[in-house]
Amino acid sequence: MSETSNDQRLMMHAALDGELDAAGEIAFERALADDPTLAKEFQRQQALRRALREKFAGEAAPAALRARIEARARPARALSRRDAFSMAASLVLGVGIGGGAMFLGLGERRAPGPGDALVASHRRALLAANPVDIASNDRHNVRPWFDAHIAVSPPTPDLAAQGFPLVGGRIDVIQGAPAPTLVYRYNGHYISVTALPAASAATPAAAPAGYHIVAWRGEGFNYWAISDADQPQLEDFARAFKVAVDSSTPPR
Amino acid sequence: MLTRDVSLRPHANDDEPGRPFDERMFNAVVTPHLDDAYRFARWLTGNAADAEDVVQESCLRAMKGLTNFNGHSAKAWLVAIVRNTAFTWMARNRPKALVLTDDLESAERSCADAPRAESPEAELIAKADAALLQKAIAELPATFREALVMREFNDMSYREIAEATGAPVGTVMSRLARARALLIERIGKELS
Repeated sequence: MSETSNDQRLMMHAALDGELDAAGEIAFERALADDPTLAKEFQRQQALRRALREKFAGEAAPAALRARIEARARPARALSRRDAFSMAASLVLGVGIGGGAMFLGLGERRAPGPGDALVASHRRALLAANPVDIASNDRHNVRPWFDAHIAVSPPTPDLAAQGFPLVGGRIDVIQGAPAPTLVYRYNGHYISVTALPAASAATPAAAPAGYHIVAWRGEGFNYWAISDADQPQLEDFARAFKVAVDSSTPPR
Repeated sequence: MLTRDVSLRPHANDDEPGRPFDERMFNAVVTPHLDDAYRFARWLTGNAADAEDVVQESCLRAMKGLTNFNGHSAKAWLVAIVRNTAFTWMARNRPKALVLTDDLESAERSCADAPRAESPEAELIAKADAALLQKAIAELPATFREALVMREFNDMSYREIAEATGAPVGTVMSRLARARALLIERIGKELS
């Protein structure tokens, strides 16, 4: 055998790629034995395959990218109905937390809701000398303080062990009514959690660039967490908050 | 950190009928192939930041078009979306990087070229380093490169590559053969 035909060469590639059936394998092995040129070329191809596999071990998608996409997949149920995803780059702002409802929204087609007021309060608080009216990392100080001032005392879990120490509390005015807001810290960021009465409207809120909102429904309250921390961290926080509140509520 | 797992199931939407976004299907079809999507985008765009953008946009498209999934190969379906997304994304953001090859047809028709007389030995090919290989792959004509990347780095079968690129299996085979011949030729030139 002198000339390696094109067909034989294609067969060689198919063999390399595991695309030959049993009969094809046998035919190829025979051709390999008969044709030293083909055998040499096969060695070259195998060397190339090895080099490629060794030098470029499969790179995984960055964890942050995966987290972003998975976070988007969660609330997309609510969005896709309105075809809100028609803008590929649109931002998803809310993410549902276990068992509770999720509220989310895009920049347009919505009336201002509590979310807007909450974001405004959070931003104003950050600009103020102190983001809280009562500064205390002890939840046993914060809760009675709310009770004394507005006769409402939302659950105030201690999340220091989870990396979210309590900073204190303040009273925001949301849609004309005072609302208790807890402030936690995460690294250099503040997280404001406002507890609104369970009957309050759940209008989607658009977070301005750089801020994130996570909302969930809890026992007796709707919670809104607002922060300039990254979305995954804010979701972690919301999860931790919910777990702590749920496990401290005696089962009925 | 957390003492127990919290279900992430969103509250059911009962206010609007119609076909809701199927999160479970997304997690079955798209999520398992994110690494492949990213790896493919990485080779197509040439850098990590662009690849992230492309994959993110691809996933949004995938969410929207989830009902179009034909049930064959989820990987091929997602890679096809990444391929299209990368193409439009590159045209929009990196117009200079797009090289259109006119003589591809004839290049493909000639199938796998017979190896040159001075074809390098297998031992030499094994010595090619990552930088050289990367450059050689980047310089391949686009259709050859995508076939090679899908095969070598995404571990896709001929049929899956055919599905993702819309080319017949025979064309896929010849593109792969041609891509490899060009790589080997290039390595031989650089290292001899």
